Amino acid sequence: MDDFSQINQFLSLIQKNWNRIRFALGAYFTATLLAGMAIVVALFYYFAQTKAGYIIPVLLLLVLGKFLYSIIRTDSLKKIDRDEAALLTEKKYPELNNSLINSAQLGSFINDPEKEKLFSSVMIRELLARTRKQIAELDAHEVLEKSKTIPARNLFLTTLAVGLAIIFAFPNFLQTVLTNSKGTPIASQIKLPEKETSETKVAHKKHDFKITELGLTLNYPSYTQLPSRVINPSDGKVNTYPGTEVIIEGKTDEVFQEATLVVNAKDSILMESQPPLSLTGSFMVREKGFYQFKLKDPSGSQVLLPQKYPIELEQDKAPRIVLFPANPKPVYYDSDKIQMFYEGSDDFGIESIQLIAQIGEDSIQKKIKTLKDNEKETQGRFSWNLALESLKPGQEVQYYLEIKDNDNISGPNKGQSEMIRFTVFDSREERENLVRLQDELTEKMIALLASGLVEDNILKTTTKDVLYGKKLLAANSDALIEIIGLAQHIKNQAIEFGNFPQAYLTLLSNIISGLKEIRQEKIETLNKIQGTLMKPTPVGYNLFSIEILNDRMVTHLERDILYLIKITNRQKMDQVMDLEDQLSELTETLQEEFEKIKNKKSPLNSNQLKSKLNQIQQTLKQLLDKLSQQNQALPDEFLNSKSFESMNLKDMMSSIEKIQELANQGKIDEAMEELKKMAEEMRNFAEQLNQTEESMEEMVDTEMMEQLDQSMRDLERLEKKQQRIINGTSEINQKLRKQQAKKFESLVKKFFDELKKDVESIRTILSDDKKYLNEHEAMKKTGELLEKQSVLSQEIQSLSQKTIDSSLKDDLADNFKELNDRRRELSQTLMEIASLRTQSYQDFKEKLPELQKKYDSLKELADLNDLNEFNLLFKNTYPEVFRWQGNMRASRSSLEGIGEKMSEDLRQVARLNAEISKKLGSLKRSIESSNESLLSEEEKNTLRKLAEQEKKIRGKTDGMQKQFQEMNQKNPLLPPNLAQNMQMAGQNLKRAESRLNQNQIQKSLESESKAMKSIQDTRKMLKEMQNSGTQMSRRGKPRNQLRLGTGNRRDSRRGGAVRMQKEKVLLPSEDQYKVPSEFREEILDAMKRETPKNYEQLVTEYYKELVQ
Amino acid sequence: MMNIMKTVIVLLLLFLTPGISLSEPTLTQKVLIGYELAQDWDLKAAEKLSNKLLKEYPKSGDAHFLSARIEFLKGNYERSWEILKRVGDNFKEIEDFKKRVDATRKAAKNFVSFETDHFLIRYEEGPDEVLLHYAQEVLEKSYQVLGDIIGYYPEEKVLVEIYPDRQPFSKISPLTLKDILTSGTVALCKYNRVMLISPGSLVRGYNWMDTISHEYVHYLLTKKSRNRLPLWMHEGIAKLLESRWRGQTSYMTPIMQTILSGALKNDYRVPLEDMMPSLAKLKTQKDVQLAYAEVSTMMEYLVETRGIETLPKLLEDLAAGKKFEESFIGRAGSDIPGFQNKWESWAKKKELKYIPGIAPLTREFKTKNPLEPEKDYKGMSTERAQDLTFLGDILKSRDHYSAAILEYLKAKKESTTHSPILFNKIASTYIQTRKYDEAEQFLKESLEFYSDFHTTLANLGDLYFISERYDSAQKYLEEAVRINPFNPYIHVKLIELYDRLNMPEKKKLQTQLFKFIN
Repeated sequence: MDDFSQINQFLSLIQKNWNRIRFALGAYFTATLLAGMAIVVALFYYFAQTKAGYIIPVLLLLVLGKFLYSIIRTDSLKKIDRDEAALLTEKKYPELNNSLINSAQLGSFINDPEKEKLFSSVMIRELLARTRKQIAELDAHEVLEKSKTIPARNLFLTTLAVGLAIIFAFPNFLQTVLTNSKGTPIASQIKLPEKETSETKVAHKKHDFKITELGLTLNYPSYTQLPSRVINPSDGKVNTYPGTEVIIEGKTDEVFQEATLVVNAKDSILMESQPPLSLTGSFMVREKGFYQFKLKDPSGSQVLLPQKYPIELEQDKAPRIVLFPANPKPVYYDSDKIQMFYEGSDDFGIESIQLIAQIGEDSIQKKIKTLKDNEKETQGRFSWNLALESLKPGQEVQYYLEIKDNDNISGPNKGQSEMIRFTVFDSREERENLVRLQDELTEKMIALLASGLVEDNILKTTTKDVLYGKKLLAANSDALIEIIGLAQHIKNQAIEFGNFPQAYLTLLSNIISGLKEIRQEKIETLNKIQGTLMKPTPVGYNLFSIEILNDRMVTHLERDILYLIKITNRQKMDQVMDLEDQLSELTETLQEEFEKIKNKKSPLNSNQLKSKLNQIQQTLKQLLDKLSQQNQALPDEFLNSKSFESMNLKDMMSSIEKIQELANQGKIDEAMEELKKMAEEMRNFAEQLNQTEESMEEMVDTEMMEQLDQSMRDLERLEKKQQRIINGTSEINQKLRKQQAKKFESLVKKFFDELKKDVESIRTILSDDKKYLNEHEAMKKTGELLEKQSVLSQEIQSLSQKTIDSSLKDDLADNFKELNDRRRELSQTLMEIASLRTQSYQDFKEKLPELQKKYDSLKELADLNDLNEFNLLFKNTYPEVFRWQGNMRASRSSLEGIGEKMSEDLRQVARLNAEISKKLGSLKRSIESSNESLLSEEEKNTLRKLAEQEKKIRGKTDGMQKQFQEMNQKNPLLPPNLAQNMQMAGQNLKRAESRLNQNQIQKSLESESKAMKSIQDTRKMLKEMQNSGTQMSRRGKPRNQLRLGTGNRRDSRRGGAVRMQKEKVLLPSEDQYKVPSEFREEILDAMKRETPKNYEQLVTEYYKELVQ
Repeated sequence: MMNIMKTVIVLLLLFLTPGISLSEPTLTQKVLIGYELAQDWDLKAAEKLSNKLLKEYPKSGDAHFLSARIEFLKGNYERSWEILKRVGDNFKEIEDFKKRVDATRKAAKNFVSFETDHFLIRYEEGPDEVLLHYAQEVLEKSYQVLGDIIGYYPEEKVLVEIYPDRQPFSKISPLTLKDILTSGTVALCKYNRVMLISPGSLVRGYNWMDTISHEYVHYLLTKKSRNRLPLWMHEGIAKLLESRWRGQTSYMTPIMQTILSGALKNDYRVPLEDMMPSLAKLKTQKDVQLAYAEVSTMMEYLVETRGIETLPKLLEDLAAGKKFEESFIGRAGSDIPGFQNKWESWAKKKELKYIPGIAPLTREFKTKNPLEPEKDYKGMSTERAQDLTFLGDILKSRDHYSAAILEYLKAKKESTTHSPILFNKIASTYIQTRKYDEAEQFLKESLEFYSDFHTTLANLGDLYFISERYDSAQKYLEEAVRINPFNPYIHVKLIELYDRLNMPEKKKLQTQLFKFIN
């Protein structure tokens, strides 16, 4: 082998080595690239749902790209030729000194004559020989560095490691990647058009189908109850409700093998084909989109027709409901019922209506109505009984009605009414406010008492100046009006809240009436002084009357203050005891809970415990607040002012915290121990409270209570006696009446025969008048004009509203003009009516039927010969005729003609009435006078005895009247009616006595019965006082169901509960004003019902707006 | 046990038939002698006998029971209780005694002792310590003064117990709570000791210093007579001598005078036999006061007619075993009915003040219920007067002083009895309006009727202090503090007063006393 060959062999070996390295590099490169891409893609899918989905893969791609690029840039992947192999060797072995490259390049020139001219063959041989010698010492495998592949390998390994790290680092990486990569919208969006395009391209190449004679049949979902609709011809556009079945018919222009409906490019539904060219198919509308036809040509190729037919959805409207509260109030009692009307509608049918209320954090639902017949409209009423909801005082409640339609395809649509808000009446708070007001009243009274006492002393000892007296009277009157006003306000509030004992209300009534009377007299005295002073020669006014008045005021105030303090203290005590009860109850409950935990029956979580302890804390705080109010060292405080500091209640606060802490640490036994201590303290406190309550002064002292008991017994006896007298009198009366009936039978018959004629005459006159008035031209005209007036008034009312509504619109001017026109017209009509001068006759005409009816009844009674009933009705009827006579006489504008006739007719009627009256009188007199002759001596004696008994009873009632008066003066908790009733009883007893003596039995019976009623009423009052649990006396004192209050401070000057004033009545939205006519009456009815005075005005305003 | 039963039966028999005597002294008889000695408060002899019996009959329940009784009378309640544990309680007497000892040891559980020269005072630590200074003064003075009169100076230290409230007091004494409230009894001399309720448990305190001296007289009388003086005379002498410790010979309060004068006029008496077993058991305060007035004036009459020495002589007679009636006739010169007749004639001639509208005051205890409001107008005679006073208080609390005075004056007019409370209310309101003369007039008037009414004394002291009449102020404030040392206001006033009067020693003492209640 020559030198050159050996050199070439050497170089070839290097080339081979290079290629091996290149292959390895390429392999690493490719593997890295693939692995990198896989990681990038996987990361992309993995983070596809996040905003940073692109960032991480791109970053990784950039990093990887950088490294890969560096590999590519080194040309390590390119092939090398001999020269490059020689150069590589030269680079490795610089001592070759370019001999190898020169040899490689020049070797081929040997024996080339052409080249011989340039390079000597000898020299080349020499070079080759030398080079061969040089390379003989070299190892061709050593020329290329083996480490060249290491970076590429490392890069690959790093990429692989990164990949593995990602798989293990991210949870569910591979699953997520797989899930996200399948069926992602992006993927389908990307793929589908490509597919379509390619297929379309294919189709276009082959067939160009056209669909003609399209026809649609829409079978609507059952809930809509719509009939099927055929649209033929159709443009293919589908516009219907979800759930509709759409049947499509059509024809193609070319023969096809098979047809398919493609809905929204994803659902393919095979169509029926009727050869040669018809096709039929159907699909169910679920969502908005389009559909297409796909046909298979005879060659079997699928052709998706490019035309897309739109699918539009018609909207099933949400149902609507309007709520009309019939008795809206900002505050309801927890026992109230909320009356509401509703009106609901839906386009396809209503399924149900329910009430949804949010009470604090809880929500409640109440089914009001379920409709089964797919009714599209419904209305009804619902009464929500709040008593069933266990509402807490002061709680805020929001409620609305929810309506659901019957859409069973995509689920029922819902609609809701306006939300209405109210607060539950907090009786405790209101009662507390009331107590505050009472305190304020007491202070005002004390101030006036102080001034009264001092002034009284001055009047008695120092001054004789009438001007001083005048000034004093004026000042007192002003102070009194303030006190009276406040007392009246308290009384109103108390009545409104209810459940207050009668004695409390009586006290307030007595304060009000007594002070009112004094004030009135003061003003009268003031006027007298003023009158005296104004005279040209003033005569000295005696100050004595002022002194007396002042004394009376002082006495009254003294009594009132004492009782007001007593009753207020009882209320305050009740409030404290209520809180204490509550606290004890809470503590006991907590103790039970702890026991349960200890026995592991039910674990109490920390939130429950916290809530219970919080409740205890809150109640304790309220109690402490209440007690701290009694810390001013005033003699009229109901608890010892010094006591508060000595009590351990404050320590209880820290005990509660300690219990919480111990329970949280699981030290249940210790917590229980602490709780027991607290409970023990509570018990001591309760005992002290009870003792204090026991020691509180009685509202009615024992002596008076005994007097009342005695009065009760006396009244029972009197009642029995009086009953016996009534029975005795009645017995005689019955006998007498029988005799009278016998004696006067013919007389009465004759009398009524005459009366009937008179009554008949009157009836004829009235009937004639009615006819006359109906037929008179002026009256007819009046009727027409009145009708017109009514229509015009209505129009004006509606136009007024319209004008107001259009205040910001363009048609304001038109509306206004129209309104003015109508007003002018009305004014004209009124003038016309006035000019007719028929107003009083019109009134008479309207009332005439009523009058006629009465005379009809009198005729019937005359037919029956019923003297008493006739007399009674006649007494009520004849004054009416006089009234009409007077009215017509007084009327300034009466129309001649009618006026004369009416006057004459009424005169006639009055004359006939007088006749009847006279006859009645003479008959009654003759009957009464017969008493004397008809009564036997024995009966007369009995009547005298009865009269004597009445006198004795009167003596008793007079005594009781005096006693009740005295008691009332002493104790304002007793109602003055007791004495008043006794006075009335006495008067009637006196009358009865006199009548019995005169043998006027019937009249006597009347008086006896009245006296009896007064006695019974008094006894009833006393009985009620005993039974009402008035807290007047501890004896048999039943505890009021609602104790007399607890309270927070309020600004009393504003009157009423602050919260009530601040609350606004929620007015319904505009559409709720459209009240169905039948509801109007209900609402107006509701208006008549009682409303708490404080928000009467608000409610009235509300109704006004509601029914306008 | 049988022995105890036997002893009790014999004891009962002996009590019922005092003339019985046995020739051979058996254990039962020896025990009986022991009981008699104990009953006479001759504890030394009783103890000697008891110790001998215990040695001779160490298993005898009777001997142990006697020993327990002696320990109880010595004031060693725990010791007594320990002994009683060994004795069964099948008999009511034993059971009752056990209950008494148990109640006493429980009530005295927290007692600490304070010894003076002749007395051992037991009390509960706390505010009651303020009493010690005053108690020492009254007791030691009484020891000397009364010892001179009665002619007896106890050798052993006399035990005095101060109970903090009426509840424990009722438990350790035969008196019920009702008795205490009705009769106003606040102290007793029984079981060889003097017991009293701390004035701190009463709203306005009481004249406890005279009371303690009164009880000490009882102690002396019992000891000197070997417990053979009848109760009425006991009470009469005690009442007569109760104020002697402070050099005061007058003992009749205006109320006593008024009541006695009324009773003599109306021929109403509390018979001597009705005064048994205790004056505290009488139905009304008025009867109690009348009984005291009767018996004390009887003793005054006896002393006036027969000399003060009659008293110790009579006691000596009794101690010597002479019957009371016999001795009385000898010493008084007539039998009891005759003596009473003479006394009546004497008493009717005596100048007794009759003050209409004056009535004994009910001792007002502090309520146990801290929540209950203080209602000091409750003691007024009529409801109207109460109401008007209450209205006066209301007006005063709202600074309507003039109006309040007018209301109080109306109440005074309405009231059928003299009410020191109302007078003090009027006076204090006058003081607030700087009308000192009017205030003084009202207070002085009231003090004439109720000389130891704390509020009157305090208000007078205050009035003189404000008007810078310091000598008078000192007199009344010191009197007030003796009646009720628990009123901090008086202490403060006195400290300030002593400061102004430059009396550092007194000031220092008052400051120390004040610390006990502050």
